Amino acid sequence: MNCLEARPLLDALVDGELPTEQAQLVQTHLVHCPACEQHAALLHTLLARLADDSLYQHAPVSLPGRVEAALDAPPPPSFLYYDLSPRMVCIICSVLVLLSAGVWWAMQPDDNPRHKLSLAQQSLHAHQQAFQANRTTDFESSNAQAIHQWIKQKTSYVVSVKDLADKGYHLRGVRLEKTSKNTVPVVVYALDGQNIELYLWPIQCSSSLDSCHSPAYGVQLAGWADGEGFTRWAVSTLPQQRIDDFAQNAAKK
Amino acid sequence: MHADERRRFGEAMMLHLDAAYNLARWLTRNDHAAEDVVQDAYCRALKYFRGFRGGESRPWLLRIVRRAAYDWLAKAKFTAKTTQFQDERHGWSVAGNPEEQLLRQSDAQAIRAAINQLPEAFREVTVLRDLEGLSYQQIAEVIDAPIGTVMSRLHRARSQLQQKLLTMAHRED
Repeated sequence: MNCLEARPLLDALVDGELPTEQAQLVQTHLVHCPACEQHAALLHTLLARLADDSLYQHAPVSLPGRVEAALDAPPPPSFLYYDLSPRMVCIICSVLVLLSAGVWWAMQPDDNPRHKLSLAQQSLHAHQQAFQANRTTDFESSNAQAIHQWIKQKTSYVVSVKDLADKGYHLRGVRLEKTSKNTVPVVVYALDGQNIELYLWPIQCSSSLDSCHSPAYGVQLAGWADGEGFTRWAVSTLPQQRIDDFAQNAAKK
Repeated sequence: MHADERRRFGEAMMLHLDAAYNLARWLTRNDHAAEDVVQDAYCRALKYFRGFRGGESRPWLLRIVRRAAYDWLAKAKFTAKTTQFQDERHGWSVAGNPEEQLLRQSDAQAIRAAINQLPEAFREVTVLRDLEGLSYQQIAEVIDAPIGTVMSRLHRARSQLQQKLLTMAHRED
């Protein structure tokens, strides 16, 4: 063992923390190396000085009582526990107020007819795109319960799907349309070989039954709010009267 | 918390109040802060006491005190003095008898000043070993580092202490 190996181990040797074999090697080195021996002596002197009791910081007499009192005190409210600055408290309160207002606003029924018509326009637009892409359903089924489950699985919406086969409207399936703001299930019925697409917008509008038509696209629409938090728009190339009949049957409780 | 658990905590931990204060005081270098840190650490320790599976209570408590002290330092923005670890080997200065003599004459005030000048990482191992008398294994548990790190930090801390004390002694001469 040479000096470079021995010096870093002197502290552990003096502290009695070296394994026996290693301690013997260092001690053997010290016998033959006056420089390291002097280093060890210097270390002993330093440790003797550090053993001076006045260096030890004893707890003030009042501290045990203070600690005991803190331990027995009821836990502080978690809000204060984080020692927030008044400014931070103001920011958090403002954010909470804004969020609450946003949630409240979002839950209000939207009675503005223009909003309802905007959903009609969006339904029309989606219908046109699906038509051009030759896309009718993502999931084919004539079972209302199966379609209900599929929608729930894909969107987490719980929305009723009516079986109107006894009225002549046969379920064909369902697809999903995605807009920038919403995911809209579209339930597809068939009447006399013609499709009726029922758009389920997760937006509450006025409950009155409205009709409109688009001469440019040759389609008719009928819309109503279902009382379940959805606004439904039926879109089809069938004559307006037949769409209105469908809407009345579908809107029945 | 159950009254029995609270009583057991008191019995196991209040014995180490001096050790907790000693470590907190050396780390924060401030009397009031040390008291705050100890109070905070005891409250944290009580919270975690259910997870304490017996064994040595002093290292367990000191680990929490250390954490609370560093949190206090961070809050007080004292961390700008972050320790720069230098891995280069320190030069070996051969100390003759006169240096040993000077070191022997260093008074407690000089030693206190020299310890306070050590970087936090070196100061804590010095306090834990030389003032608290913890084993290397216990120090490793407190600072959450391997024993090799404890050895190397202690060695560097003591080398720096010697240098500082000798410099102070020479200055006085």
